[in-house]
Amino acid sequence: MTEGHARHDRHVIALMGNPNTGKSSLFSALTGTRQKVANFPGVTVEAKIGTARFENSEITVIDLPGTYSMAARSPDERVATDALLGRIEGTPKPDGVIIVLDASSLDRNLYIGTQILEFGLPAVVALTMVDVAESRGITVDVAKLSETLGVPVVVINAPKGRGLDDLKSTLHRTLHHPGKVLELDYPDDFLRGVNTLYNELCDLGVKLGFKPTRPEALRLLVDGAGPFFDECEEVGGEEFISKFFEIREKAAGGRSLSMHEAQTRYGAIGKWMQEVKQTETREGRTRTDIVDGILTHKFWGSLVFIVVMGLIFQSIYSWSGPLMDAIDGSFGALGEWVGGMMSDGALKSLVVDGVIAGVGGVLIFLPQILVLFLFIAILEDLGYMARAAFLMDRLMSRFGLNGRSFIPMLSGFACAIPAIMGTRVIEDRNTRLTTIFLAPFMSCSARLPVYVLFIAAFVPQMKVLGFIELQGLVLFAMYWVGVFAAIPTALVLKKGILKSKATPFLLELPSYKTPRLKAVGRTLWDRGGSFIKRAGTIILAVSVLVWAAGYFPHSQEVDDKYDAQLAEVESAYADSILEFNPEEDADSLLAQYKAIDDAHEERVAEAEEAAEDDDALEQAISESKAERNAEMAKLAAKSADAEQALSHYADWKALEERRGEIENLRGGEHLEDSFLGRAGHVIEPAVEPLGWDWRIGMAAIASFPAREVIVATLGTIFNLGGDEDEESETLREVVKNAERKDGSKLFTLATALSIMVFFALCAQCAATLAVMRRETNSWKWPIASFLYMTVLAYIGALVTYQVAHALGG
Amino acid sequence: MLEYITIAAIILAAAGFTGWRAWQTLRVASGSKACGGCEKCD
Repeated sequence: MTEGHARHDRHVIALMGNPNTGKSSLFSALTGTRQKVANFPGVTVEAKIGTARFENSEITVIDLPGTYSMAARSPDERVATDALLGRIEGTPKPDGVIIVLDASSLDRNLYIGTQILEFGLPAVVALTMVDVAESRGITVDVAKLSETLGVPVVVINAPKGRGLDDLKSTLHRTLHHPGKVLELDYPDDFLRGVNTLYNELCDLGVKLGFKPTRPEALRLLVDGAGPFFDECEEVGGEEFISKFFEIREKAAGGRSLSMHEAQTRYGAIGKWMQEVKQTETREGRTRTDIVDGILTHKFWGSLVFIVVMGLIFQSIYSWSGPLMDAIDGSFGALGEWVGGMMSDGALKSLVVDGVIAGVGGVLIFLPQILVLFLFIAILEDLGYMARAAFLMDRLMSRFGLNGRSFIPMLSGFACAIPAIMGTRVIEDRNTRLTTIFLAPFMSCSARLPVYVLFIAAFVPQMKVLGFIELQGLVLFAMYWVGVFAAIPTALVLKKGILKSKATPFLLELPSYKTPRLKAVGRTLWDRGGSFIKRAGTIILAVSVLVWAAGYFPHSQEVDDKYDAQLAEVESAYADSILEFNPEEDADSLLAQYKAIDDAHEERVAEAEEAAEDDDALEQAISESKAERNAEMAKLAAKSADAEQALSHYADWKALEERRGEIENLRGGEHLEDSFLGRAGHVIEPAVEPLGWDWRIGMAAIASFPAREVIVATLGTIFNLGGDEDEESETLREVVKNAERKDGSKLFTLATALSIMVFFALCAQCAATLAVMRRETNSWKWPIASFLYMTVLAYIGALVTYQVAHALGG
Repeated sequence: MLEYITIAAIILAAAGFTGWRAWQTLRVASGSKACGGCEKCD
């Protein structure tokens, strides 16, 4: 194609190969398009498109799902064939193909390689993992491999950028020549069957709407099922089907057709490998074998898995605590600063109680999210997650699932949406539906803020067995709640309505790699960015709406009542006390007494953080009080004015407390009278058995579109309701100090556990339900999932609260 | 007065945005929007 004077070539190429061969890395290196690269199979489930440039050429690169075969059993395998033949709407037909082969598992990789080469498109082989192969004593003769396959072979290392220019120039040359069809030595009956079926398909061609190809005829003959078979059955009817089975029977010659195919392919590959590959015989087991032996061992592997996961949850608390406190403190200070700049009224309340308390309450959990994903990204890149999947295969097979379900479910710990989309790698429909149904049970990152908030507020900071942080242990346990609920659910589904035969699970254990800083950094950037974006968009919007529902109608009668009470209280005090402002009168005697009192409060707060038990705390408080009283007495002894000021300070403090109480009552009554409060009282009887009051109930309802909204909603509700006081600067403290109408604490350990269990089990994510609908093509599954999980969450929270309450929690 | 106009505008914007997100979610459900809704490609 020419444009003006310069010659511009435009080409489309497909990138194909087994999962985990470095295909996604190559795609990113060629196109610069950002894409998640993880070190376990099955990450790429949809075709991704990017553009690469070489000299005057523009090459559109289609990254197809990594598959082990072109057999159209699972949706991604069908996508691969359709895309290669240009039959996907909106996706251009490839002029050529890059076949990515892993040099360390060349034999197995060539299985799909031979299938692709049978399509006869211009092809280049990109040979990856040569360094890994060499470390295992495997040497590949690249020139011989190229000669054998009849296509150019280029050694590449995409993460390090090696061989990319060579690959592009080779590709450029190759695309200008016709491709060569690979001919394998199939048995005569088999080959006759392929040719006969091909002719039959050509007769159907007009009705099918496309011209079928010989490799497709081969696939249809061997697979005898799948989307292409369904299409042929639809247009060809009974006549075609009876011919089809007749051809199959003859071609099989009393044996399995897939056996014929596998024997022919592996037979050819085996012969080629004798010339192409040299393996240095090493005595004993390699280091990888020894490590794999431990990590996939029934007992030791499980132990390592539990210890690794336990350490992650320990780190979430110990590493992110200081950063979380810093963000928390910053939002507290921001609220005070903004509040100080604005005059009292609805707009100030919207900004301080709605936006800052709501969004800030969620953003403080950013460090935890980052620590969690730092570990997950490192473990993924290291190659450990594939070992974990292997380990889980044994466990999951007992519940009718297999390790293929584990990989999507593992990504469910980050977010259920990619988990549900990841189930496309599962061939069996019933197993896929079961996995989709179970994915939302995995504790996604949106649940983390809920767990962290309540654990930090109600689980004591203490060590179990001398070195395990109790808070981290409880967090770890919360992640298992969903897993334990998923197990019986899987059993019921797989033994009941979604019964299916067990299918073998082929999982490649990738080589161990040093985690790449760039890949880990990208995961953190994506996850952190996505969390901040959610806080700044949907959570901000919901916080504003919750604030509006909790603020209006804001009756003037309520204000008048409390203004009158305030005036009555203030009438009992002298003007000097009423007008005292600690900031403006910083040099006054009253301010000096206040400074001594503040120092005492600070010492108490420090003691609360540091004290190991209640006795130690009590002693620290009493010592601090004695110090304060002594300092005050010393100041009072200086003059008669100072002595009188001490008594005025006591009066001012009592007045401040009274003012605070009246303001809290005012806030509480406005909230009760608000639209939110009125709706809350309607639902209160339903949530009371869970140990909740209407405020928690409304926060839980508001979080049905997205879980983390509960944190923002609680922040807004308790700020509006006046449950904050001078000591309640952080949401943790607000939650800790919140009271019921009778003055008892609203949140106890039992209430906190009940909320956490509810959130662990409930399907509170509209986007997940939407994706479930799309992937199952029916509303039946999302509705069933929503109802089942909500009922389960309610029962779980009810039992948790009642048991914990009975035990004194 | 200006205060209440500002507040009304903010609430309307928040309601509009929430409604738009709900609409986008429904588009995902019907299959007319490719994004899965996890915000990575929004």
